[in-house]
Amino acid sequence: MKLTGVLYKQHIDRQLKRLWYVKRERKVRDTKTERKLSKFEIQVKDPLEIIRPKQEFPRLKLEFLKPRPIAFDETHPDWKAKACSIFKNNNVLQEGFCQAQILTNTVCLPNSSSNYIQDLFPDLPEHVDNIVKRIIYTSNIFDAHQVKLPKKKDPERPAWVFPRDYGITNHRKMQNLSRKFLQLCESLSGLEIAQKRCILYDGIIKLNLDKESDLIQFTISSDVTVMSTNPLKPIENSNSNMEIDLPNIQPLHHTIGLDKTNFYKTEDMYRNILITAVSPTIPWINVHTIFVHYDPIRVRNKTELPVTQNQIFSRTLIKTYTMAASCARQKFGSSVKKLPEPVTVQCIQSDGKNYHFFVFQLNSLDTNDVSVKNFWYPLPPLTLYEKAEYNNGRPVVEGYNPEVFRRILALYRNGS
Amino acid sequence: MFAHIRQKVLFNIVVKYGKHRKYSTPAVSEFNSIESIYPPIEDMSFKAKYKRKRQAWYEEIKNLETVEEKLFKINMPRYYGWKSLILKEHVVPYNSLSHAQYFTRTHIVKESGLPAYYNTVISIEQLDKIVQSIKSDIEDNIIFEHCIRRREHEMKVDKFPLDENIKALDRKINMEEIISKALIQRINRTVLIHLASENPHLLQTEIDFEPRLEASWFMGGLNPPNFVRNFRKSIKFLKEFVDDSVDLPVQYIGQPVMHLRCKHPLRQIIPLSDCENPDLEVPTFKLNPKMLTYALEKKHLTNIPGFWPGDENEFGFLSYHNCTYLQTRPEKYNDTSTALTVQAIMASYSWLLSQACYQGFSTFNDITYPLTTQTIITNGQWWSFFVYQLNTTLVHSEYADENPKRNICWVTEPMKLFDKIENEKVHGLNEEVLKTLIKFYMNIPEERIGVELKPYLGKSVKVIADIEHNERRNWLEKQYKHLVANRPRHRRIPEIYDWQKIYIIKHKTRPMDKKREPWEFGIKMYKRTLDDHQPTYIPKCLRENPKKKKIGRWAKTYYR
Repeated sequence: MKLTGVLYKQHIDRQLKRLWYVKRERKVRDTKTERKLSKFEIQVKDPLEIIRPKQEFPRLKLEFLKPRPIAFDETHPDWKAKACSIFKNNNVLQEGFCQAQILTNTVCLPNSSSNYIQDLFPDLPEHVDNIVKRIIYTSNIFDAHQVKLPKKKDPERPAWVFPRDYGITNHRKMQNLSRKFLQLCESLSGLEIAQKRCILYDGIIKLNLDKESDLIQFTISSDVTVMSTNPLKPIENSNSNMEIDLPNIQPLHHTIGLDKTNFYKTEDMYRNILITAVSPTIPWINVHTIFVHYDPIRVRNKTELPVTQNQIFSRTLIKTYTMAASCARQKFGSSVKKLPEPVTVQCIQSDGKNYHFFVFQLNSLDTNDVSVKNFWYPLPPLTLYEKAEYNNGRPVVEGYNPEVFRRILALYRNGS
Repeated sequence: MFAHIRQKVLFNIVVKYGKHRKYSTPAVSEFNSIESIYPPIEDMSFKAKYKRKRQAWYEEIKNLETVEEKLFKINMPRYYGWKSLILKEHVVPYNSLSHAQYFTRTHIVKESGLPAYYNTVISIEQLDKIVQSIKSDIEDNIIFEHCIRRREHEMKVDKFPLDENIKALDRKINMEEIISKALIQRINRTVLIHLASENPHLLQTEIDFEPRLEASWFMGGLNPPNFVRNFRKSIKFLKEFVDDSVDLPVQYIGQPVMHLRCKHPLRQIIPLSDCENPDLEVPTFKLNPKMLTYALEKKHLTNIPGFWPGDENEFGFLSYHNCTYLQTRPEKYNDTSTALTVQAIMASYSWLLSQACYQGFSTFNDITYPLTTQTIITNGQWWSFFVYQLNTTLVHSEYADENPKRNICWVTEPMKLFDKIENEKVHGLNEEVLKTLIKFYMNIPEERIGVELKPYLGKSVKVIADIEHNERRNWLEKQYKHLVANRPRHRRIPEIYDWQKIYIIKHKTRPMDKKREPWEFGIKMYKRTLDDHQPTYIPKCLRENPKKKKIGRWAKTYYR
């Protein structure tokens, strides 16, 4: 039995591989040229006398029509030595609601702890239900927008390419619903309440926090913000509920999953209002209600795993906290820690179909001090409709729930 | 041999006998006392035949039952879309007013200002009362959007260190876009809050934010382009029609900020008969619109007033637009009001035309009652108000010049809502603007009693969703949405490339090339009709009878 392969003598590759061996010692042979040339009386010179040395030209700096992009390094105007963990608008926290609770120093109150909102389901005439139904029809079905929707994927057969759909984006559906609902709320509530409210769309808010020597920044956009002249009353006394503890996510760190960057700005911004131009001219300084839209296409996990309900709540909590904290900093000064009076914000989270309602009470801005905690009070969730789409060639809304709009109206009128 | 002769003899007899029969006449002819009715003698000239053919097509469109099928039918002759003139709302060329008027058959009322009808909408005392109560809220709105909201960080960070002048202009345009949109929404909200409680029609109004507005029509009366003239010259019987006008499909793409819609139409401002007055001038513009920098594109023609057919609030009430493009026009040309008028005419006509299409009318079937709309164009500070009455939608072929009806547009000069903002205070708030605005909102839509709104639609079937036949309804729904999405075709549109034109057609330098392109076989690809395609293949396992090879192999189509 032969263990090695046959070496073919004519194998060209073997010859090429052997080159290094052949050429390892190169001898300078006498070509006898010099002698022959001198026979013809031609002068022979050393080549180094003739060859000019290589010239080094200075490199020219050319300015082209298109300027060079700004470099992301130490020269960047926003570069800082200390890295900052940033939570952006479309991020979710890896560990979900528990992590958000630790970051924001918040405890979740039990569901039936208090009866915060009076008149949760106001009586409305029947034609209002028809208007609400019409709003669902126009924003989900009859809106003629046609843009390229995201790619569809079937987990069972991931290689299959579906034809791309054209239609209304989730973002637009939710935006339309929220705007139209609010418009209806205002028309129904009348001048007295509506004048105390002010509505903002798509404001960008930044909040900087120091937690256990980590720098954390929340950069979020408030999809819809309702502001009011009167503050909402707190849910409970800020010193109560001491017995509820924060959850423990050991051995994980509380900044797990957040992006770290050296390029950031440290200034706070409060719902797009110049901090210098507040009290004398603007009566609406309190955040009243915020709408948080959850678009499954935009909000994603880094791991590409599906986003869990728990993670969506974490995003909502961070958004609400950011709004309340910015409001508190504006009211009581930017260095305030324990608030003289709590700031309460209502929150409506929706994905266009399912509505979750929360009330958040901010007691302290000191995230390191666990003696005073903030409160998070969820109300039972509701579903606006089962189905609202073109079904079998016909526009269909099934399972419409009239309670949803009534509750939104109750939240809007609350504390008027 | 014998047999052959006999056959010949027999044949002769038959022929003679047959001839004999043919020439014979009946002995007694029946006397007919009733006058015979003959079909009219048709003009068999080329023009008349062509016109009859077109007329038959218009009738077919008219007789279709649903809105979507009518709009579908207009697109049937072109698989790759009609080569149409693209008009965009924010592209307004210089000197284009006569073009806009001629293409929409619009007469502009000379006296600037709203029609007298608006004085009857609301009493003066009531108007003053509302203005006084609303004034401070509007001032707050302006201050909020201009001074209090902080927007610098909403601007995208520049990727490149650009020139300061470019940056400043870009930022100015961007800022005006944001502020005008936000201010329009805020003012609309304020007005609705103040008026909705006492006016139920405002509570029922549907508000669309940045809706999709598209309209299309056929424009006639244009001078033929050179390639058409040359073609006509090359054919004997077309030589006499060399200079005849041509039709051009037009597609308008709007960019409104906000639409308000109602269940009932607004009242007409002048009766239909007054619109046939020849004193109402409409200028002509027969030149090729390309000279105004407009471009042609292959597109399926669409008519969409912001919503799909089937929505109950289908009549326009008020539309808001902004005018950021004015920033790029040098002030010394001083044509702001002309540009605004062009924008308003196009936007109002297109919105009304697409609404009319949802009532069953089209660019070929004229509306039977007038439609009205109100348009506001603003950049936040300057406000222009327009009222438009659509009396006719016929502007194709000979109707471009011969149609007695005209559409009418009332124009107000741009007015300043406020003079300036200093120290977060509004100076010089113009109440006149607020009064006009409130008049627009107080113009109550009314049910048209005694007018059949949808004469050309079916009695029970008006939109696709009403169709009983399941398969046909689903097919139509899917295909209609597919068509109006104007998505690009999967395969490239065949064309004659420049090198082919030079080296194959003009100079026959490549005689040995294999023929591959459709035009080499004399196929005119741009004339391919919409139904000229293989239907979807149905796999065997899905067929009703999988054993039959030919039956149920291709999916059904419902083109009409």
